[in-house]
Amino acid sequence: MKVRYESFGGIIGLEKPESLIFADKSFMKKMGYLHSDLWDAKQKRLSAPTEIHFSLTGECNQNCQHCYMNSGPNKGNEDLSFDEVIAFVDEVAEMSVFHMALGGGESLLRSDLFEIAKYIRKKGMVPNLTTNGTIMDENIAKQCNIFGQINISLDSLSLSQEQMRDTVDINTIIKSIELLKKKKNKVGINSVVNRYNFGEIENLVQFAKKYKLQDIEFLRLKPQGRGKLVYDKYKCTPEQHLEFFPLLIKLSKKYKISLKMDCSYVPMLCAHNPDKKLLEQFYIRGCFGGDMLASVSPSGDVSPCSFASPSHYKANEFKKAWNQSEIFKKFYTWEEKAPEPCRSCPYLEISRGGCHVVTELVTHDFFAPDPDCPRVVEWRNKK
Amino acid sequence: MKRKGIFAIKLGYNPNSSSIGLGIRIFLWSSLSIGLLFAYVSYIISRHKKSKKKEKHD
Repeated sequence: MKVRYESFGGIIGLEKPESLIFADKSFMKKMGYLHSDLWDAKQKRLSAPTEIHFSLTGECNQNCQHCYMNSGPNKGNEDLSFDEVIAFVDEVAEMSVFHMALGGGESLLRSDLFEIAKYIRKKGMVPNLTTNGTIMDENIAKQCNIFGQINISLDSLSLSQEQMRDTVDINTIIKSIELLKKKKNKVGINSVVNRYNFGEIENLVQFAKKYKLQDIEFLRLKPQGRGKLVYDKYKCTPEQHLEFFPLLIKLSKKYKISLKMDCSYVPMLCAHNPDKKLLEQFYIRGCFGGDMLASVSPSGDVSPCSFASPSHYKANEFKKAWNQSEIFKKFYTWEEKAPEPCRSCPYLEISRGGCHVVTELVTHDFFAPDPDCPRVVEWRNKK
Repeated sequence: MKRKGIFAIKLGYNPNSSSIGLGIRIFLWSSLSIGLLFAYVSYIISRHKKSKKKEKHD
């Protein structure tokens, strides 16, 4: 169990069940955590991220059309060295970060990945992994026990021409899943949703159920990296955006499997008037950038999230970036400058204006509303 | 109004290295299930505290 003080009380990280618990001051005192200077502070923002998204390498054996990291073959020459990675891990461990999600590029191409993961564990954080699932054998699968969970990127079961990901034989993915599960790993899928694979969502859920996967996380396509070039062609339609949450509810009920949507989909969720109390109880929010979340690129650039423009800080100045970066501040203070229709929206505090990365890259105005938010679309149509 | 004590729980790991995943299944749970989850988590934490106290005394 790992405990961190916050202005509201504290956050408790558990491994069984895997969770972050947000508690008030009276609960913390009952647990023997009697006081912190943070309790006298008026800040709303967290003292540190709860998780870091760390792209360990730009190198990848795939060349997916929509890659937000612009990764590919021979793109790993700016990667941080092992010592630089370790120094960064030390710094964020001191800030009591709970989890690190490791990715890339394809971080299994880093020969020191497992050494890095072991060090993250040693420093009291849980490492998790995203992989394309093409590099797997029994030895690697066994070493993956170091991770809390491993997610394999998979957007479609079919090899359609409209596929954004590089063509991978589904049997390669299945073999990787089977090897990982044989070695008692928790395995899930990350799936980027686009207008052409939207109709295959149920197939993916059936696949996850068949192979007894932990969950599927559905990600909204972002116009970042190579994704910029394919965004207009592949982004979901307004009808698909509105249909998405009810579809996931239906499939979750039907197949009794855990389904997730990424934080950028919260406006699409809020469009269906969900119970606010429920969202608050499970800490569901829109943009977590610069608040629960921060990100580091393969070359050490620090950002509020993996899709956002980097701050001027590098990994060896992470704490400074967290406390002083104006780019971080833009993210976590967005609500103060919320324009209409967000300002009047009953879900403003939850949705936080949707995905600011999508907004900035599409509208060129960071402080505009999320252009794909169904409420924003409706408001614009009425105007 | 916020719950007292434990007021929010974020379940599961996030192996996705690009954004934070939000579970849908909570929308299928009843108030009773949610109440039980909060009680269970509170129990787990208090057990941790008891075993820490025991280690200190031993």
